[in-house]
Amino acid sequence: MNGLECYISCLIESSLLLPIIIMIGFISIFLFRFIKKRNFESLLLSQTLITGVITISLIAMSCTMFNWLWIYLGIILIGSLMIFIIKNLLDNEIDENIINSISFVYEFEKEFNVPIQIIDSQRIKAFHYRKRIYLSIGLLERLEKEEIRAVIAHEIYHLKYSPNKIVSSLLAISSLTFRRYNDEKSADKYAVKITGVNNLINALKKLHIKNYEKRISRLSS
Amino acid sequence: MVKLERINLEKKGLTKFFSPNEGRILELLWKNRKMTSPDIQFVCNDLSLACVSGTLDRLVKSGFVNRKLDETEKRVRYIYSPSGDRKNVGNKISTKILESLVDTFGESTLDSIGKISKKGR
Ligand SMILES: [Zn+2]
Repeated sequence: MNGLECYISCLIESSLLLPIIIMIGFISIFLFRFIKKRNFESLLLSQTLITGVITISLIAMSCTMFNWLWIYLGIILIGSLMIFIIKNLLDNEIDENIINSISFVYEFEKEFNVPIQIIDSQRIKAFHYRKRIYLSIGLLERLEKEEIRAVIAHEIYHLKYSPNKIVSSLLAISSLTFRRYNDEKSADKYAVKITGVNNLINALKKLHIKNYEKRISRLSS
Repeated sequence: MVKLERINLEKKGLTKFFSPNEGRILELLWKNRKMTSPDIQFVCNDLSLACVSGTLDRLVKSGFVNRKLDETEKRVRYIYSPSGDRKNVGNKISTKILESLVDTFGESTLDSIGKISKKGR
């Protein structure tokens, strides 16, 4: 008996065959949606479903052929545990000097309804952390107001829609793709929607962002 | 402050005590007194944006350069100025090195300073 026949006979012998097939059908639909829309929630859902189906299959079948499924579940479990530990070890406050009261950014805070912290540095810095957006003076200095809006909009997208880095890493491990979910493109598109394409392009250019040509050409695709 | 482990007496001029870029920007600020980062970038156009920004942050942190925020309704920027002139920086560095020499060699350091200052006259 070859491998495939063994798997099939394993499935047929199990009493939970029908529900499993139905669930696999659902998974396919979700995976299809994810591939088509690159939507993070569908990825997460399909991931959960796959894990669920595997667990049910393992309980339903006492077939040794499916040992690799146990290994897969082990990877997810160890991965989640490690990420949980690392998250708690690394989750510190940011190590930057913050300047208080820059009236300049007040209107952006009001417009986007997000606290914006200003970093006392000439270096170019823009990131988000714990529901706040951080921008450096070096960045504010070089950009026009509308270009700053584009940068803020990009970060807002991450704050609102991008998955937490930890969750994203967990998925990368459990889906065995080892690829972080990357939605820089979506964040750029969101910024373009809010401020127009030129402001984002100018901001990327002025700040000498790595691979900015690539990011710009991606916008039109 | 100047880090003692960074001192290299075989180099020339300010680079004995500073990195070449730090020395260059410090000289520039001594000459022009007040500059913005685009001014500095304009003169040091062979250096990258990241390089100039990083050097300025380091010079501020080590206390040789001051910066003040200049804020208007429309923009915000830093204005850089040297925290002391050449002589000032010289004093700071000499004191630091002398302290370290006296700490290691004691009295004999002060003897040699006496000799050098006699020669100078
Ligand atoms: Zn981003």
